[in-house]
Amino acid sequence: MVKQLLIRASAAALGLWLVCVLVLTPAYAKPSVDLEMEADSNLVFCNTTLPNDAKHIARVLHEGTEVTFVWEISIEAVRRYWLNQNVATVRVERRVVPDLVSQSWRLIDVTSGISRRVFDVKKALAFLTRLRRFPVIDRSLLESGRPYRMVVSLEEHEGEDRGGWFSRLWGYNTVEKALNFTLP
Amino acid sequence: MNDLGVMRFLPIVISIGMLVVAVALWPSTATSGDVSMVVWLNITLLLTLSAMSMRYGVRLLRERQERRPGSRLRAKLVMGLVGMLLVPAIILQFTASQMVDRGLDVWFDVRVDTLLDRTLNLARDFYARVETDLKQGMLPYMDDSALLEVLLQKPIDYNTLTSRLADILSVEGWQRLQVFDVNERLLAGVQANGLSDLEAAPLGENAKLAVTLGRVVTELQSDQGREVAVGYAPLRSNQGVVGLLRAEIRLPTGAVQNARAVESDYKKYRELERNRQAIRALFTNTMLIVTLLVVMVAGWVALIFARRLTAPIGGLAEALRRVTEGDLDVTIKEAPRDELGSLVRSFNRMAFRLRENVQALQQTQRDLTEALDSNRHRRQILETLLANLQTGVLLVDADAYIRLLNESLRELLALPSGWMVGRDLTSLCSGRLHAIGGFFEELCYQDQDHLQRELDITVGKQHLHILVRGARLGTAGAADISGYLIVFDDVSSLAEAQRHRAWAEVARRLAHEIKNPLTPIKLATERLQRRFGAKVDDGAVFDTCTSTIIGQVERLQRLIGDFSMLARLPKPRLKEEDVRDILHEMRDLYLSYDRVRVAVPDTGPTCMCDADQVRQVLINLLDNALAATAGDYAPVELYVGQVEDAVEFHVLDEGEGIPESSREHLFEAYFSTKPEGSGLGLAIARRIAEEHEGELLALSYAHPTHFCLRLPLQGGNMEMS
Repeated sequence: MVKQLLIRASAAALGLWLVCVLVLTPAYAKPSVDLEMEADSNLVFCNTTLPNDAKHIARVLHEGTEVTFVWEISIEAVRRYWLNQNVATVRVERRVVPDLVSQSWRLIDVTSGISRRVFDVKKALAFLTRLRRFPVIDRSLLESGRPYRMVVSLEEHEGEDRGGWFSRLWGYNTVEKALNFTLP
Repeated sequence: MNDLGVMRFLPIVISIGMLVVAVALWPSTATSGDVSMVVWLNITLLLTLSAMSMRYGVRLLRERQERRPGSRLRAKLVMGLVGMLLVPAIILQFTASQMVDRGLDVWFDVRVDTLLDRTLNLARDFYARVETDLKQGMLPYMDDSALLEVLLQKPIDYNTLTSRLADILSVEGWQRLQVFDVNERLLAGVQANGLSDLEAAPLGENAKLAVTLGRVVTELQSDQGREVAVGYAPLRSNQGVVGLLRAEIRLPTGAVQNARAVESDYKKYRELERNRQAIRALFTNTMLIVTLLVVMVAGWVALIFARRLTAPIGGLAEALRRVTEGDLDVTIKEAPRDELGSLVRSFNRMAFRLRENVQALQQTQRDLTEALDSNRHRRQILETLLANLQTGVLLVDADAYIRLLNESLRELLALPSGWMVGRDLTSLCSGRLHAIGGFFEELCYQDQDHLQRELDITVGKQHLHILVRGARLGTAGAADISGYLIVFDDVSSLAEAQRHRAWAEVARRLAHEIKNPLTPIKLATERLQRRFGAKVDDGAVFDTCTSTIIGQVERLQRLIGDFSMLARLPKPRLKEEDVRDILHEMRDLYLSYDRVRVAVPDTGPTCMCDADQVRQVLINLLDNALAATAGDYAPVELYVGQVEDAVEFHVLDEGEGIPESSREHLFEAYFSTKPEGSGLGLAIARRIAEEHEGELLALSYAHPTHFCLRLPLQGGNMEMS
């Protein structure tokens, strides 16, 4: 009788664990980004958008919280039996600083240091969530016909003090997307 | 169920409950940062506690079958202590969670929300009002004729322009007023605090916008912690825009600080509001961590406490169980300095004394066992001795009951089956054994401790001469054995031997005394016969008488010779003899008797014997056979055979045989069926056989009458000549 009881208890525990792992975890699906690759005769560009999180970001900006998006775009040469070889990595950091009193938003490209003020939150959102024809790598560095992988990762930070305790408390969202491509 | 009852399943229930809570706490992807870390820490703690609780529950269930001493008490203590802590902890956790919820509700109350919105709106209104005032203030100067006139002059009269700007500044109360041409070049400027901070600031996008749109555009600028409202108004003439008027109003420091403080608070409030669930989760999980850690530590402490408390009790129970099972080599080592320790020490003393007593008992038992074994061994020796003893032994107690009776006595006296241990001796001694009863009575009632008698007891057809010796053992009623020991010895052979020796002595003396006068008598009688045979009147009577005398003398001489032979039979002188030689001699001796057939084998054995004495035996046997077959002329046969380590001489005849009444006394001395026989022939023959360590047997008493002389091939243990 004890053996049966133990078997049942073990089965129940295993069942609960499986529920956790198989049912609950997929239910909390992460948001994703749209990713496209574009290339001309000289450069390889990246078109990427974060479509799902715009409402939340707009709310955050309306409520005066600074938002920083850190995009990291990598190009990797795909290898079959080993880890992919990193060819190039580009890091872009964009920040929007709201001014609630004047109801304007300062758009700052941290990488270049350029900034401007807009009075429309949609422009701020577009600044943060979109990269259009963003040059990633010189085409001459890639071989034609060879498979490559473009990986875009996004860190979404809210608040001014990114490394501070209060900010760390809530953490930040991360999104990643990859795209395989072969240049003609 | 035992005394723990359903409480035994409590740890498993708690374990499952913790597992469920862990599942409920499972973090979503929205949860990140340190909150996520706290949640994971909680889940880890919960899973650890769940595993520990499950393990403990399983152990409890196992101990239900294999009960370990003290385990139930320990389980009760642990569950009681943990339960005492767990229930308040759950209540505290629940209350704290509710309080956090209520606190958050109060914190993020709608009124606060509205208040902040309104406050922010106030700040915005202030800024908007400043900008509106600035716009409205600058609007009339877009077409100010004085300014336009100066700007349209070539060259420009800067003094007039500055003077006009100063007038405007003083009228409007702005802090700074500047005029730029269409090329964004500063033409003139005035400010409220003199020349100290008068320098050309680059125009921004709003300035261009104002020129482009042809209307007043304002913006806010920050400078060294100060904020200013800047307005751009294009100066328009009929020729179009000829310049740009830039005015600054410094916002009041207090108002700016308040407005920015409101903005900052609003931001923080909204940030917190957005993370309201995370804050709640953080508080709840932090509280849960504390609760779980407290429960874990408390459980651990409870376990240690229970273990320390129950270890001596468990040790005592285990020790008592071992003592109950007979293992007295038990000592409890751990003894705390309290009442339990005193109990443990008392138990150790008790176990030590028990061990000593048992060791003493075991020693006594070993001694007793050894004594018993020794006694049994002695008894076995005695029984073996009695069994192998040729002497009959009878042990009778003081009440005349048989206590011991050996097999030799049973065989010696051919005792009836009723003779057995425990029977009354006096009731058994009847008939032919009556003499034994008489002896026992005499032994019982005499004054001496020993008694010896010779009794004649008939066993079958034999009359045995038994030497009986009795001894009194101890005294009646004494602690040691008491009764009578009676020993029976068959002395028939001894008596016969003594009789033979006596007879031999008589015969020797008689032979000596009689043999001497017989020869003169015989010689005298023969002389009388020769000398006076012819002279007497009645010669026939004379011859008959003298012949009778001579015949009787000769018979007496033979008789005396046989007596002498019996009395002085010499020891056989052994040497290796060929049996065929003996048979050849016998055949030659009886050659005249054609009915005597002696079978001489082609190859025959040799044996160690005295050939003369063997010949004497064979002659005696053949003479007897011839005498027995003299009437019907029946054949007599002599042959030899070999059996194992003996050689056998067989003598057969087909005579009438030996009468049944004579068979019993056939080998006795002086017994003869022949009128002239001395009765010593077969006695001497048997004695010769016995002297050779062989035997003379009557195999058949009639048809045929068959005698066998068996001699050992190697001559037995006799000395060789």
